[in-house]
Amino acid sequence: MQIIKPAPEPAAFEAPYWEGAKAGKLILQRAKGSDLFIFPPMIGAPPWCAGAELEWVTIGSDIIGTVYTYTIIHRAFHKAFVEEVPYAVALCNIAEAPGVHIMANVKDMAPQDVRIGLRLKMQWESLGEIVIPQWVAL
Amino acid sequence: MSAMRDKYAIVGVGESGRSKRSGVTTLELAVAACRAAIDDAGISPAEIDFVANYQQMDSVDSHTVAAHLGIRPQTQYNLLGGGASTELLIAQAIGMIEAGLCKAALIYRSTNGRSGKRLGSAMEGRPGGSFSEPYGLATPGQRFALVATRHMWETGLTEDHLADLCLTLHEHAQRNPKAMLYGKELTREQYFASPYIATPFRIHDFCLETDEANAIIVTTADRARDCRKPPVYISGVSGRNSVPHSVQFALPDITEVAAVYAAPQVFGMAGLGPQDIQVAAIYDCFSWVVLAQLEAYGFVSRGEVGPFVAEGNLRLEGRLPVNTAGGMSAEGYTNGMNNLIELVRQVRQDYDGTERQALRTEIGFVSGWNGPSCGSAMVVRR
Repeated sequence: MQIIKPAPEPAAFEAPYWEGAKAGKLILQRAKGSDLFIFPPMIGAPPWCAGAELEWVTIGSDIIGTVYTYTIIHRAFHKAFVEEVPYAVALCNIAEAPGVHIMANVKDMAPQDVRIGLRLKMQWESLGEIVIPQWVAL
Repeated sequence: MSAMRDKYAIVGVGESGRSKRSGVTTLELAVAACRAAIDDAGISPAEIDFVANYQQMDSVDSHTVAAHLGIRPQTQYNLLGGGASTELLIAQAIGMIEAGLCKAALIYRSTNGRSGKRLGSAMEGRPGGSFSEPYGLATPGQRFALVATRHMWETGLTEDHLADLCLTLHEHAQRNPKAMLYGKELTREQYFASPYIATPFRIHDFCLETDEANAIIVTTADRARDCRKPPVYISGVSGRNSVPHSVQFALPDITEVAAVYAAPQVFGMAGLGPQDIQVAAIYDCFSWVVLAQLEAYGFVSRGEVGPFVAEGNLRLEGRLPVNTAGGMSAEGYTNGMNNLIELVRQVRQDYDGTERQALRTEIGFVSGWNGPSCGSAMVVRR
């Protein structure tokens, strides 16, 4: 029996992000009147943009991320990941969305080659009803 | 008549919609109710700095609600409780406002009790879960590893510095016959021979798990005068102070830890600075966590903690003895209380005349860490 990886549980206020993902597009919130983006999606602006209204902005389909930080997991705590060990999890910055770090695995690449500053490409992975981003080698 | 009479008031009330099936998360319900109360009070959310709720692990946490309201809390927590919780939370808020630790408290309860949408396996109970767990990142070790990797890259800390910290704590345990790792020395070779769990953490970077209980008693200074042992006075405290979001990776700077906010509160209250501290108990769930806190509380400047540890300053005979009984890494694990108990013993000079007593222990410091996002601290003295 295949053990399923944990799936996201989208909340209503996150809808534009998940709908964008299904269409292969990155859609993020920005604090109106600034160039600061927010991720994960929020109901109201966080304290560092307190008082700002949040608006949804379509970033696009061709997304390049720069590794901001990462870790290589050598011991999986969820059964569904046991066969993939060691695997890399990377948080990447997006040039078009300052302030945001997006997390995903790094596919098609030896985990030990992941470095801060490495550039990766966003690729969408379908889980059925939900689509999530992944990072792949350029 | 109490000095507290009429000294505090409820200034706003609010609620979300009510139904048999809300169709939304407890976060959305909580934000709606809190916004209504804030509006009722006619205050700005930025004035609120204490956020608490009561629940049965069936609801969104206070830190997350605060973030979505644009509030960074000086104290936030979740009380495990049902009835009578509201009054307790109000009393606690009054106590903290009275102590000058916050100014205005927001207290909520949010539940999908009728539709039965429970937490547990649901992402709703784990802030940022939908955006991290599908990638196999969930546990504290894995989450802190992301923060540690960036922090070490920015500040020049190396795995050798992590090893130095582990060796120091294991050495302290060798003087403590009650420590779990008493008699089990750790060498640098053993440290580096152990496998990674999640880079940069290896097995020895993780703290112990033990079965034990700890307890402390706190009362007024007046009463303390007639107690058996010398009092250890509480000079300053900061309780569950927090970064501006419950999701650490949502912060523009992932290395911003709660200690940077707890520091001015605890040292401000004590009228002291980190330079005045002579002995310390630093929360050590992972080795790197100690280094991050030493920096964030200002014991060393950013980038200097590696050499500070490597030079032996944290050892019993060093400039700032830390976790002198072995800490959570080598003594025992009760989410921090064992570190505080050892600190009290050092400050009281219980070990006077033995090799366990640090030389200068008049003023001590203890830190608590609930992830990089939330931290507590206390300054004590004899």
